Amino acid sequence: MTNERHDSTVIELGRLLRAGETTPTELTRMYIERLDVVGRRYNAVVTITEERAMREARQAEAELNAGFDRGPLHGIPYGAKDLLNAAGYPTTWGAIPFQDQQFPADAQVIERLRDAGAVLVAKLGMVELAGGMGYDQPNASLTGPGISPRGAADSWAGGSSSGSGSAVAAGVVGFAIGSETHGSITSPANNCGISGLRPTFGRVSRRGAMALSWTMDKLGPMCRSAHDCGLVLDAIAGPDPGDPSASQRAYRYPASAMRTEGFRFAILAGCTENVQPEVKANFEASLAILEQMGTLEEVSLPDLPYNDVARVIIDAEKAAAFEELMTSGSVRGLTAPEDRVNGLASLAIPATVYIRALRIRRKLCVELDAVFARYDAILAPTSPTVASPLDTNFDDYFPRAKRSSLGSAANVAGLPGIAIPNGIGERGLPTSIVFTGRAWEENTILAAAKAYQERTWS
Amino acid sequence: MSDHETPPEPAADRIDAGVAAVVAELSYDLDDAGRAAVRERVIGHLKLGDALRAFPLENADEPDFIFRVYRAEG
Repeated sequence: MTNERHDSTVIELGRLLRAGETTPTELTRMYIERLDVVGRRYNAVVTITEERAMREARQAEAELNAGFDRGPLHGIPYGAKDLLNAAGYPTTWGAIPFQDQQFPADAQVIERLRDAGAVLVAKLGMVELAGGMGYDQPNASLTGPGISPRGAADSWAGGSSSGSGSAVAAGVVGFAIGSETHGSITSPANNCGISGLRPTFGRVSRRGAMALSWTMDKLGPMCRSAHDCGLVLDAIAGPDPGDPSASQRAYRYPASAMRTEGFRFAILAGCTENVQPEVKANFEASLAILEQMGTLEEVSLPDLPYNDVARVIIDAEKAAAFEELMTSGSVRGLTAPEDRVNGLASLAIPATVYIRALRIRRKLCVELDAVFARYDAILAPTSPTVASPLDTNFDDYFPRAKRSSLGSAANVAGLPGIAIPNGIGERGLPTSIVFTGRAWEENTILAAAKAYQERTWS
Repeated sequence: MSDHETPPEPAADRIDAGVAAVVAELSYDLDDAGRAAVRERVIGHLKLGDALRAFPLENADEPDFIFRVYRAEG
């Protein structure tokens, strides 16, 4: 098997393995080489876990040869955002002050992927501390600014799961695991033109993952297709007594017999105001496809303080998570100058304000659920723009105040969303559409996204 | 208060108290630029707090805590 299959989906790679056209060790060696040569070009790589990868690949190979098939991820190399612990390797959190830290045990997600037969080939680049210190430009990681492999010029990979996004887009891993507190899966999915799934809060155990915001962090798959996202979620989701926020609900991805039509879609009102022209045009073209798959109507979210609640919760929990870093002065070792000071004010958020945000949050959840219960997915452009240039502050490229509240609403309420590419925009960069669903309806939004991709991919 | 309404600028003594509270937590000195950044963010947080205080709540409106009681098995 040659390099030309590096951007195959998990399904395609699995077919090649089972047809004997490649082996887990051959696949792993290919991706390790590509990580080193291509992945580093995009600042996507922190650590290549070569020894572990080859060991896991040899085991996968022996098992498959013996007729023991663990499922669709068996023998598939993947990368993990470098906030997920992997025994024997550094887990840097993308931050210079933590660049040498190691943890003795694998994160739960890594354990589950090992049980599924997947092969960990790399710890992937990320914005330092998952963006919690308030970065406002791309150069905010110990590995340098994440770079999107798409488009003609250097553009930001998105964040904070920058390396996961660019690694999948560049075909240096079979799939990746990212995380999202507020945009960190969907942003790189948009900027790198890949499929990124943010599961319902509590769907995936966060044991062994860096915490930025205990009540808003979610781990999720970043892949080359929605179907691959479902396969990966199937492996990593489920109860875990080691994570008190992990739901007791079991999860299964029904790879076959998924709905392809009859969906009830809603378009977020006003979602194409204040977006780039190509973002709007591509979104409208997507709607023309989705109209063939079900009904479309416009919906508005209840007028509630989603952004304010999200900011207070994240800032207060972030301050607790990184109090020592900030009060000791180690925060001055972070890469982005603004990250060295922007988070400090969170140390003085009164408990009464934080608790008030949590009280308002419950009301937001109830009101949002009443809206989402009427639809299979609410649709919007994932981002109002394509990836910003590497040398531009985010607000200079597009003011954050103009963004819709859907991202804040969905993350405050812990709702699932899948962002998939839907065309090309400015500077040859991808645009994206996000399907946001009701709590626990990952399979519904995955079915819709998968059906959309089957209709639009040649 | 929705996401689209901006509370008024907080009173100066509240801002100063917020900045002082942050500085008191640090084991190192901030330079002028650092203090200015902290001040700007303290103002932002005070506005957030004021915006959330404007949202009507009753005593019965409980927060969503993760806390659950624990009891060892056996």
